[in-house]
Amino acid sequence: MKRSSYFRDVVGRFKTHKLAMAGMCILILELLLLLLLPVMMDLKPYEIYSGFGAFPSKEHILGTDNTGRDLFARLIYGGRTSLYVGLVSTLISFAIGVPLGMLAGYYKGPVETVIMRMADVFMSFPSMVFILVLVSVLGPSLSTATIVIGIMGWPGFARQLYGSVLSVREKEYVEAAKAVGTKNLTIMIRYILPNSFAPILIAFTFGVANAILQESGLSFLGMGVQVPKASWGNMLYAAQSVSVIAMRPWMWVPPGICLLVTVLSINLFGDGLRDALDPKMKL
Amino acid sequence: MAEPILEVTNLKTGFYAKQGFYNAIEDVSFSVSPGKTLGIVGESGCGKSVTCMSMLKLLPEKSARVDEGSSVKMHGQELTGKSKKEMCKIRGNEIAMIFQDSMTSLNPVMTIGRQMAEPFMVHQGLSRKQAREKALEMLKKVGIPSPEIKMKQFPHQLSGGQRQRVMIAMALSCNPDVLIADEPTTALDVTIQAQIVRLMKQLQETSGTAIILITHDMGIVAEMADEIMVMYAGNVVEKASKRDLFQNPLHPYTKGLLASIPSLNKDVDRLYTIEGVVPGLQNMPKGCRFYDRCQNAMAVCKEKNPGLCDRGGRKVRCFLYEEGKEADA
Amino acid sequence: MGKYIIKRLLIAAVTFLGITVLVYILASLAPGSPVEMILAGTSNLTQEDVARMEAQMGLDQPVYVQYIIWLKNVLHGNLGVSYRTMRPVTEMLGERIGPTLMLTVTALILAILIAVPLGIVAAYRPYSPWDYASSVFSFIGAAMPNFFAAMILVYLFSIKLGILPASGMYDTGTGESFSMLLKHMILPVITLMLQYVGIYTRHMRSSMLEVLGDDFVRTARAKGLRERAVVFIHAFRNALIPLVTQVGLSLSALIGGAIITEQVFSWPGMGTLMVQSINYRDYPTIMGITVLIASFVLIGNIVIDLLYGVLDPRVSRK
Repeated sequence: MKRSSYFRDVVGRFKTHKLAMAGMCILILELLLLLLLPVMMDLKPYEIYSGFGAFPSKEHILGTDNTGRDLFARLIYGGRTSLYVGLVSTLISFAIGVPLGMLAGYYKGPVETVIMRMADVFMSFPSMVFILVLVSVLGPSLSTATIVIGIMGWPGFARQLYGSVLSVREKEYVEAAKAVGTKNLTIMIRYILPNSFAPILIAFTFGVANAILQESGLSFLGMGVQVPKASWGNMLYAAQSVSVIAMRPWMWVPPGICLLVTVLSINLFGDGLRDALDPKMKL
Repeated sequence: MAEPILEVTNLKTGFYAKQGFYNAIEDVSFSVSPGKTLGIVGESGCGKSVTCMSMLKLLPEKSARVDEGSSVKMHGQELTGKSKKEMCKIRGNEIAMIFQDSMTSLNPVMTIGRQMAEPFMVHQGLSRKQAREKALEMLKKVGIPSPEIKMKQFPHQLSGGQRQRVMIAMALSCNPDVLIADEPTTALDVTIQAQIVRLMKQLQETSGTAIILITHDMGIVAEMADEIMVMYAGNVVEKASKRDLFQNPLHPYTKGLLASIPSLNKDVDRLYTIEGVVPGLQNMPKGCRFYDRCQNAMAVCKEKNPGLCDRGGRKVRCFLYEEGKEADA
Repeated sequence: MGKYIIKRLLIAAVTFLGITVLVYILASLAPGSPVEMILAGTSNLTQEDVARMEAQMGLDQPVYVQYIIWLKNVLHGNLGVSYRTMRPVTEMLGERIGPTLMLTVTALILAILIAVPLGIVAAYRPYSPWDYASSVFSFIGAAMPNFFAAMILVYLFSIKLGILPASGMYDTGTGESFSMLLKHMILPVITLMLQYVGIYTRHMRSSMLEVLGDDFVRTARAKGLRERAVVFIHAFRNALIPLVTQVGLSLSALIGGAIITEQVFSWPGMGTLMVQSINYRDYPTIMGITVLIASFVLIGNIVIDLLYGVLDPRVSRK
């Protein structure tokens, strides 16, 4: 009863947030397109057609790239890659960061110090540089990019959770649970985790946006997703020469706009979500 | 009685909210004379602070509006029509103000000396150096220990009582004719409260400043005020001299307020409380605003909000005392 | 204040050590022996040759001993020899530091200088068209991949208008002048700062809005201060404090952005060197760059901490 009214409040507040609603609609539309178009249409992102760098035409509505692959098909498959990396790597960050943050917040002393200092080290250092070092060791590929971006994202979750655990730890009901001898693990999962739900969900949303940007950056440097596999980042990588920028805008404008719109929509959605879940939280 | 220095007539202020415009205070009139203290009493949200902020035009223009019929006269001069620039010359100079929480009311990143010097620089055109000397004098006047050191310190390095003394010193810098003290002692310990009250009284005696004291603490009003105005839900419900009000409260709300003061002389098991809550801005009843909580409520009270009527030099807003004639505002 | 500084320095030192350990472990995990990398071109290598060389380089020691030797060398400014160019890494980095710092520091300072007034205006007139415009700009800035922004800028200013150069620090073969350098800096600096202008504007706006509602602002008004003095003397310094924190947090991302920006504009800085080195698996150079960037970020953070202490008298006393 109480739960459903909280949920209704959240939905109600979210609905009044016009930009967030717009962001959500764009994301849903995009997801549908990325999932359904490959089924409905005969898209061949890896097929090499004759005539490379071709102008948009009836057969290739966005033209072809430098090696003659259909750019529209690559745009769709590239989007799938971007979203895949965004989601999976954020899940990895989540899986590392949440337990660590919870441990740090729940156990005081050395555990807390070590974990949070580690988080500081990771946060105060350019993740792009670390990612590049890791890529140099593991060799560039889609899975490397996903894993590496995922690993680098943990401190965000850890800090978020650490903060909420600290605020919940001293609450009466947790003290009470401790007093009656509830196991630590049970306390963490039953009492502390649900209280951190809102900030974690928000952190997840922005995490996905960030991971998508990082993947595209990495691929743009040629250190991420490798051709023939398509990603919006490596489509831009393939189009960065001045002559392509000048003469063949259809090769770089569509993936760039897709990236921009996707990240923008996720950010707007996340903003609305934050306002809806916790009206008191700011920026 | 001396000529009043500040006269407020029919002050009416409202706020814009999502659903429309709501009046926060209505029909508020009073005056203060040099050397006298007017106590404004009421629960939080009754409009005490809004009243004073409206007088000084300190409410945000976007969300608040003072009604055109309102009049605030200082030395016979109308303030409501003054421009921003003109108001700046009055604030802190002719009318000064002290706020409740001295921790948040002082700028945390500026030294005490710098903040204290500002009124002198703004209103008296003194150089920074001269202003600092004056500020030091003021700090000595309000009895702050080692004032030279305190000048260079930041607010968080002073105690609560010291900070409130700084606030008072700052407010009195330019010898204002009127001092508005908005809950000046609420955030302080009881012993410090007494010191601050004594300080304000002492300074008032030497300077002849008129004080408007806003508080919900009947003890402080009893100590300081000459005249008391009781407010409820944006209305003045009773106005009388301190003596009359404490000895013979007329309005049921005032009676309730006085009855709820704990007293050592009376042996009671339970403190008296006024049942119920103050109506919100957005659902003001059309009748008397105290109707729901009043023990003497009558049928007429639900239909009509009573006017302020005169009862032998004092004023009260209640049908119990209305005998067909309303007091002139 | 002294205690506060010492504490920050100690934390920075620990962080620095942590980063070197991480980087060293990562690099030692890399496949292939350094000796093979160095001698890749030479034929007829015998096992003995390799072993001798490894002993010479200390590679037969346990990893932690190797790390300590390496760290000692690093602290003495010896970062080893590049596998790719066979030149000392320190020397190569020396050439690259200048261009990278020029780009990042200029972008950071400009971003702050632009964002602060924008944020104040937006906060002072919230929900005005100007405020909306600045928030639209911030949202797009935060979502725009900087390489895409760079390509758009190149398209507009280098190709369509032809007024600004799209790569390098100087035109080739025409000598090097300061004005030419400035001209070459414009597009990379805009690319790099775009995002931060947006982020900082939003932060400045929200902290200014918050501060303008604070009690001491009301006190300042009640004192009779003009609105301008209230905003620029009383509110401004308080509103800057959260912005300083935000700037500190974004330093590391700024360097990450610089790597990509340098790549787009063929800017001869550490970012382009990093990408080249990774392609060649040139570990001494990769590690050298990493350590150097780490030091920059840490120094930047110390500067931020000091600034914080200056702006907020409450900090140093805590």
